[in-house]
Amino acid sequence: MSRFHNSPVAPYVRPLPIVRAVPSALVLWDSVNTLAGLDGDEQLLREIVQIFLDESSRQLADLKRAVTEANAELLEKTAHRLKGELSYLGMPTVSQRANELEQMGRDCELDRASEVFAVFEAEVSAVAENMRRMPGVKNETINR
Amino acid sequence: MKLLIAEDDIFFRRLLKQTLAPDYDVILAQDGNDAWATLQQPDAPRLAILDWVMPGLNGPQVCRRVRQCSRLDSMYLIILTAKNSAADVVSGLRAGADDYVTKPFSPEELRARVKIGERILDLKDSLAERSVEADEASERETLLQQLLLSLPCRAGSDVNQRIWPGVEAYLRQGSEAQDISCLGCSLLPDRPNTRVTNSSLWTIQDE
Repeated sequence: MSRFHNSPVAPYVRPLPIVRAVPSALVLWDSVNTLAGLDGDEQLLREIVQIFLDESSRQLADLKRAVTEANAELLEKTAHRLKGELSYLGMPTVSQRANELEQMGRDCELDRASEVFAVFEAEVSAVAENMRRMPGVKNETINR
Repeated sequence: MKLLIAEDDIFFRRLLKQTLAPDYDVILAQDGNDAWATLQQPDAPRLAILDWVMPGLNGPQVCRRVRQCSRLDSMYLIILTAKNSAADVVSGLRAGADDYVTKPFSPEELRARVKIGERILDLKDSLAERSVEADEASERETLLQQLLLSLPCRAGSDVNQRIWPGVEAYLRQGSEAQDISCLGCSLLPDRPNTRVTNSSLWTIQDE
């Protein structure tokens, strides 16, 4: 049996908080699947989750600034980074939203950026809440 | 073996180091300029994983610089990126990358791909050693041929006449000439079209 099947890390599923511009859907973080992608290395999973939690608040702030200031380059760069991290953490839907923001930045078409960012920010925050419940991860709230 | 990881995102830098550090002496670079500077140093890594999107030089730009530098031409380069369209893959490989890995990647797959790079570098080293050995063998053969060229004329003693066919066969292996003979023999009336080669005693007669 593979290591992740024996893992004490359970999947965290949490309904999205009601936030303006957020669709009424569940944001899921399948930690078991993410762990499988890391070849069952729980320590590595905890480390990268912690890095994501530590970095995501700054990255969301950068995205917010990029949207507010219509800074296409910053939007593309930051969204690209988040896209890779979210994809690795097993959140393809949220990663796809980051990809949408990245594309907007690349094309310098920011008309819908504010709207998409609002949904994205809420989704990332919801996922982060799930992650903080993982054993061994520091339970600090994202500063928004 | 040393391995350079050039990645500006701390998330992936940590992930890559954790994945590869057990098997390699990992050197980290936080952007493309840092990576290029590392590769300029003596005893630099010959194996590198380069993120595509980085501040300063991006991954493909580092690849191009490496391929333009003869001192680094044996490097094995892997581009790592979230860009996964066929056009991106082709673009990365055309920039000079040997392999292309997309995010998210499986640690096991990445280790396997890096292992391929290590094997190819070993093969290049082995080929370079064989090439040196071949050059040395060629020098020895030239010397041997020169020594053979100092043999007395085939028209001499019975012993000389017995060893001549073997000498001719050996020399013919490295020559397109149809006939090889000593100068003394070539000066005989039935061998008018001869030319002197690398010995005053020998000639090689073309067809």
